[in-house]
Amino acid sequence: MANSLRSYLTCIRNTLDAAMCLQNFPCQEVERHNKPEVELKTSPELLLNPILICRNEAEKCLIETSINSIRVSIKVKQADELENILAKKFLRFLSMRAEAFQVLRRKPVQGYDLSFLITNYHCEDMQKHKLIDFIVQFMEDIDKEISELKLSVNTRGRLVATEFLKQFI
Amino acid sequence: MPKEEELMACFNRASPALVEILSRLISVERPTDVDHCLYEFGSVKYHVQALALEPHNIYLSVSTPPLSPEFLLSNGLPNYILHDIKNMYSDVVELIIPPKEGFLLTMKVDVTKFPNSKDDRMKAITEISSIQAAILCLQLKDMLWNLDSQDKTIAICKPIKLVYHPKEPFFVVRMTEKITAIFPMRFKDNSDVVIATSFFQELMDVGYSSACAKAPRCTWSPIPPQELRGESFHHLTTNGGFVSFDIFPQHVKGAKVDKTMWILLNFYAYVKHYVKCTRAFIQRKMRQRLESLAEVLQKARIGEGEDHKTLGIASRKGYSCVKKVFRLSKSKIFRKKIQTMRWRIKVKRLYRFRQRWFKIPKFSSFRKYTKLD
Amino acid sequence: MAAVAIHQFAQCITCHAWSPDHSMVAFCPNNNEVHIYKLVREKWEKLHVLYKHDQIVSAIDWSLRSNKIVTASHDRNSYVWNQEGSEWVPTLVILRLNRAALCVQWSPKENKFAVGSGAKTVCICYYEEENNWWVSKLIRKKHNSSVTSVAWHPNNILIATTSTDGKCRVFSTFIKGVDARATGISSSNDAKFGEQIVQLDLSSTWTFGVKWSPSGNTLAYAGHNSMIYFVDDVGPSPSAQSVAFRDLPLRDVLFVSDRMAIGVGFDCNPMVFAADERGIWSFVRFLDERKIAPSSSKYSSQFSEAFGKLYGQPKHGMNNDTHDSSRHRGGAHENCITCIVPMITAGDTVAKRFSTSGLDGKIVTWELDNVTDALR
Repeated sequence: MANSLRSYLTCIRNTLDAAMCLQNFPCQEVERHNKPEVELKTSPELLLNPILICRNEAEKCLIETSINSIRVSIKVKQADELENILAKKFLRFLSMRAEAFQVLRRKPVQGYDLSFLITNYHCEDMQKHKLIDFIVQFMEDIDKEISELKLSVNTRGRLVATEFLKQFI
Repeated sequence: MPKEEELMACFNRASPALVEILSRLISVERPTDVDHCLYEFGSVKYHVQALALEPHNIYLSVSTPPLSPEFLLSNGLPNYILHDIKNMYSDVVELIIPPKEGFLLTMKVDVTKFPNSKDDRMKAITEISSIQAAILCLQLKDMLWNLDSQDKTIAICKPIKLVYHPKEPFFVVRMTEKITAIFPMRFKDNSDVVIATSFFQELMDVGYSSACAKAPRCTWSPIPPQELRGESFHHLTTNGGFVSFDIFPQHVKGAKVDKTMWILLNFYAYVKHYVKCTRAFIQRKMRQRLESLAEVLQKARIGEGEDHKTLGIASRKGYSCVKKVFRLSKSKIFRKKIQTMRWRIKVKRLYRFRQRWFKIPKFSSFRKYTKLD
Repeated sequence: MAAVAIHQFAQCITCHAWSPDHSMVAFCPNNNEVHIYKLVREKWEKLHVLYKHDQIVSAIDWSLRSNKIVTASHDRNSYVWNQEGSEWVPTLVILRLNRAALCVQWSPKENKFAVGSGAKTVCICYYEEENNWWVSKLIRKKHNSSVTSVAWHPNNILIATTSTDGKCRVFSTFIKGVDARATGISSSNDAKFGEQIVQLDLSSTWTFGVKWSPSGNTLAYAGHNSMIYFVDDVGPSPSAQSVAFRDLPLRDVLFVSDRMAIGVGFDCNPMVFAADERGIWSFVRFLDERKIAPSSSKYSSQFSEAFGKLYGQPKHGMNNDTHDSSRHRGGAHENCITCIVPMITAGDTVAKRFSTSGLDGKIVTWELDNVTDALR
């Protein structure tokens, strides 16, 4: 299991390394504009084929590349309902604080839990390999974080339940 | 981890507002008339009156909605309940019959009869302030009749609907050996349902452990239990399923009965409070993680950390090797400046963060939680 | 062979150009300004800031003989800067563009310059003495997407372009009254203005960094699919070679000589390509010695005469598990290299010195002691 996670993340890392070759590119359609092409999608020739990397049904990663921007969307594993709401809560929490992570998209792409939008400007003032490290570590951490949260919520629930029932005795 | 005592504190039987008013009235000399009217939970009403003419007496009136529609209180409290209340507060309190217009019960509290010691006095005040809880428990006890009376003549009864909080009725089913309290659970938010469900799961699991073997058996099911067959559809639709407690005679023996009744009456509030606290707990955990995740990205910035050093030297390399030493030291000074600048920014952020995060424990201050509805 | 000088000028550099004597360098620090630095007693001093554009400057070219600077910017404008005394005086060029200008280059005779644009057009600008301004003639409706680079043939007539539509094209830019008919070595000199000589459809994706070899016999350009294309006999029956490499795509190309080219791009390390005796091009090695190219990366070049045939190379197919994080560290450049400029004086055929700049804000000067040295 741990091995398959590593190869999943390695695959994402290598793909990002190849895909994150961005450059400043002004908009062809609108005068004096310079917007992420992956969002606007006005010129199909400026987009590359999207790549979908799946670990299994529940965990996948979509990488959409354009000439000046790249969008990475991830779907996080959710084994049960509690993990599901914790994942939703956590990812929503992070999205609402997207300013802390400049590369986080405020709204995930439909069908995914979280999206990153990286533009040429990010590549100009951040080191590419560290940016990739961040995304890969983020994906790794988010799984760990959600299982940890679930565990602590359950532990807390157990404590409170014990306390509650003890009142009767 | 939350403090469990704190969690329980919000379900104090005594009304905190009433405690405060009473203790002020008793400790202070009052030359003027005092007239307080206060509401709790939206439907419980208190009226406190102290007249300058009668410096020793405080009149306290209580009104509380009927616990069950089958248990109408249009004519005031039944005699046996009044009797029980009289027993509870024998020396300090005198019941006034009939009660004040619009109230269930009016009591005359004699200030002179209060104990002198501070602790004892506080205890007495708290007891008087718990009057609403006392009435409810007595009603419930009455309804359930003496479970330990071993009266086998009554077979399984129709469930009795109890309304403690207007929107959240629950049912009590009396059987020969036990009574079963069934709570239909409803939540506003889907995530609340999930948090609460996981808690019910824990309640069930804990109930099987040896530590809580003597506690009432708790069961949770997503569909209405058999006992509620025939109840109106409206009561049987929930998003949080049904929680039931099997109360056996040993749980309502003697003094325990009050406590058990009180726990049952407040089960809803307890669960809601748990959900609220858990949400805050999750939020707190997430906020902690946010910082550490953001740090990784911060490190990716060019010129951050160890990479800054290589950059600094590399940038000064080049055409002149002769002046290298001098320039290097210059770059070091520059770097130091940058670092101190950055540190200051970080401190600022941390401070803001800290402020936000220290607000949370206040949530569990118990006064704020008296209004759980 | 190695980097002889590295200097950090800014946080990020979009493009740069040298003065004819290489004592001054003009670059854009990723904003709307052009900075000119001069090396005074082994120290770089900022002499001028050319401030006229109101958006990022995408390209700069400094003419060898006439000492004029031409700049192109995303603000749709171009300026020709003339040194008058100690000042640089701008002349606005009426480009008639409604999209960003992306690339610019002086023609070899310096009587024309070409601007590639996001409006899918190329502007050929020439000087009209009677009006004292630069006039622009457009090559329209030939490109299906933005023009990413332009390159002049040594004959001053032909121009090659690359575009995000994946093609490389060659046009005639003959302008009556500016160009003389008599120069004719090539028959294509007879073509009229804007006529397309050839369209090369080798790449499956965006193309960048087109260049002519010093003799004008070979054309090279890079594809974003980690390929570099070499085209001989540009004309009715060209022959092309596609060279694939295993590293990240190139952004710009420079011919050192007719048989050797340097490619720069996202790998942060210049790559040397060379032609053997039979004229077959292949990847030789990385210029910066920190990274020794694995032997397996020496792909044999593919010789294909048929056009329109796509080279079948998976774009993102790197199966190796080990992540090469050393790529961005320890070398002369630490981020994508966007620009490579020869440091030649008029009449040179071999660019022994050249410089590179990139998103890391450095300008690195490289020197070839011996051209064959690079092939070792």
